Amino acid sequence: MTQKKFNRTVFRRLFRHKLAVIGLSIILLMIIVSLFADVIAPDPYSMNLDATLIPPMKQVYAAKSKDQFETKKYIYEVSDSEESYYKIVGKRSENVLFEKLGNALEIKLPDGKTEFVPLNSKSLPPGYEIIGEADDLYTFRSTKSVLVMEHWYRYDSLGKHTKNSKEVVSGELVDVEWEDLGVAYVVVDVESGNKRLHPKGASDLISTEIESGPMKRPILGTDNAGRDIAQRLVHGARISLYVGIVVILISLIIGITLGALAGFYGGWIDSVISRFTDIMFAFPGLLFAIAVMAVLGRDLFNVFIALGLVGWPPIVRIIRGEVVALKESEFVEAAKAIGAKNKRIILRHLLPNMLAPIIVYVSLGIAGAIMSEAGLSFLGIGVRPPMPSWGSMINDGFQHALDSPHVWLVPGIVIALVVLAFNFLGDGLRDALDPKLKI
Amino acid sequence: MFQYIIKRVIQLIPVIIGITFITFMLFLVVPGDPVRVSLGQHPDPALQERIRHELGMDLPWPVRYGKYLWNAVQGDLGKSIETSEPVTKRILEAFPATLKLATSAMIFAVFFGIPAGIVSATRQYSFADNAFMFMALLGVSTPIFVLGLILQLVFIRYLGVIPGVGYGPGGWASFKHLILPTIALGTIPLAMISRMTRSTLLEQMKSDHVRTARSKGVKEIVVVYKHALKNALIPIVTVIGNYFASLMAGAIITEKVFSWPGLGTTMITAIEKRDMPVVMGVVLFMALVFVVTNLIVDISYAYIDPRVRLK
Repeated sequence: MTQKKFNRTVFRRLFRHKLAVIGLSIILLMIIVSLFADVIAPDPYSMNLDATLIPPMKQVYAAKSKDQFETKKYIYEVSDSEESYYKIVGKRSENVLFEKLGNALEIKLPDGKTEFVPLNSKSLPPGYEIIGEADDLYTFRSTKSVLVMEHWYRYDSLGKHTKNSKEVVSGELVDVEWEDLGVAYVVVDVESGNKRLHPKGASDLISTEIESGPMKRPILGTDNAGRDIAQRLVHGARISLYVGIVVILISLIIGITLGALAGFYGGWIDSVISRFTDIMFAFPGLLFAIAVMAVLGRDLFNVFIALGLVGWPPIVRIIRGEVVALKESEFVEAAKAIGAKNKRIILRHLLPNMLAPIIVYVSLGIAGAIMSEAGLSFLGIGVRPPMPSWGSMINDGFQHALDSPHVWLVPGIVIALVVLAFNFLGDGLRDALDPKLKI
Repeated sequence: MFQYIIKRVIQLIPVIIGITFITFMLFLVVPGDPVRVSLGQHPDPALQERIRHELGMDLPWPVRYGKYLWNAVQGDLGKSIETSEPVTKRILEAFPATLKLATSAMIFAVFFGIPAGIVSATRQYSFADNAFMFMALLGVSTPIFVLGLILQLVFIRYLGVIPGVGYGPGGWASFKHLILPTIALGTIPLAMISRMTRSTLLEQMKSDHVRTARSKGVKEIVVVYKHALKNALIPIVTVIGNYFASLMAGAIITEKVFSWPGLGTTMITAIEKRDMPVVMGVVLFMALVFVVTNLIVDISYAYIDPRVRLK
């Protein structure tokens, strides 16, 4: 069988392997995404401490309150059930459950305590007063002479807010439409089309303005530093791929060199290399990588070193075994007979015959390296923050793991998917190249 | 048998020396002077020199390695920079928790892995087989920390059947705390054991003695359990043993996810505090446990299968 024919057979067998094709597609997608990471996700680093841990697909509004401090708030809706959760990030960063009890708000704080905030003039911001209250209706009004506003909120039996309102501006009655966002109302002046944002909750009954309309809708939400998870995920793909490729290269260079030397020359060289490999095998891989990272400190370059140092011993064993098996074969004899040097025999005759196990190992090894890097970064001893590695993204979400699962869940699924893809490809390659390989 | 054990133990000595040497050399190159770090910003040079001398850090490294090895043989792995406690004490305090976690994870993996493998092998390509093998692949590909967090999300937050993470109050009450870390840590060995059981059992089912048993008219169930499984157990035992050893290292991540007070937590805290003697001690200890467990596996393997001894 000629080389060309063999290659064609291998490709045909590989493409018949459905899972391998799926794996290959995922890997190609990952490569494309990481090549164009800067275009797809231009801004994975900018933090926004006012808009942290926002769940996926939530509309974020930047609102400027009109009080004297001009504080900016980020508001988004959490749920629109009878008991509304609301979250004003920046002001309060925890979920608070509140319920209106006629003339007071009952606020359930996350630590289990309940706080009653009476809806009277004292609890309102300066310039506002309650002008009427009932079980299903309350009204408040600014006492400022410049701007007199009157809102009423009606709750029906289901706790839904009716979507109409009148607003008195400087004594004039203006029709407004408003939309309930759960945490706030968007009030639209019907005539002029001006929009304003009104947060709910007693302490936030301050007139606020939408600064620039709806700001952004982070597809996968934001993390604990208010960074866009989707963008970081894209850049994480690049880092994972980078780690996978560099680590496997380091492991291959060390592993093939030592394995070929040990297998080809035998004798004391073999003994020394094999004993050294045995000792390296005596360290559980991840433990050794952790030790190296503990010594060198967290950095992407150090991750390469740590995982490269861990990755080579299995390659030495594979290559040594192959070389020992192949070096007695006729083609090596023939090469020796025509006076080829050892270096040439190893590089031009032996190595090309060991490509099958090497290719399979590369695929599986990249999967292992990606997983190990994620593990190191999760332990906080991998890449240096704020580099968006998938493992460190999961570490970022660890503190709020049960409250904001979106921060770690998506990177976690992506790691599993990519590792699965490389494993599928590895299995497919093994079946296509040489089903009898034992890796 | 006795000769084999002696041979294996003697073979282990250079490996153990190698481990201590690599660990020692690794921590010799730590950037940043630990003495200066512990003395604060403006250390007194004389004091610094004295501490350096007391710790033996002014000696050349071969001498220091010799001392380190000699002390390690006597069970002295130095003192923690942070708390001045002996490192050995810290390790022995934390080890039972790790051992408990690793053991229960292994029991979980064996308890579910072998039956799953048997079902897969006896009903090859059935729905159950495909489902088990897909789950095994998924289990191998999901990082422990992701699996651990998903388990926490489901069982602690949504279902509320598990009280929380951590070691628990002790006794039976802490059994519930053990469940989730056990599943998280046990899933990879579970997957490996079920795959191994499936493949070796399938191999055995095609062997001559199974065909003979079948042609004699032995019942299928007896063929599977008595003739095939018994022979298939040898490689399965090896996988179990090898994974038990590497579980200790896998426990580092699991312990962080579940705030489990074992060796991994000790090590990660020590790394954060740059308490190198503790890190070094734990690394050495875990590597030794790994080696010794593998030795026990090899010996029991030789006990089960006499052919191994003769090689």
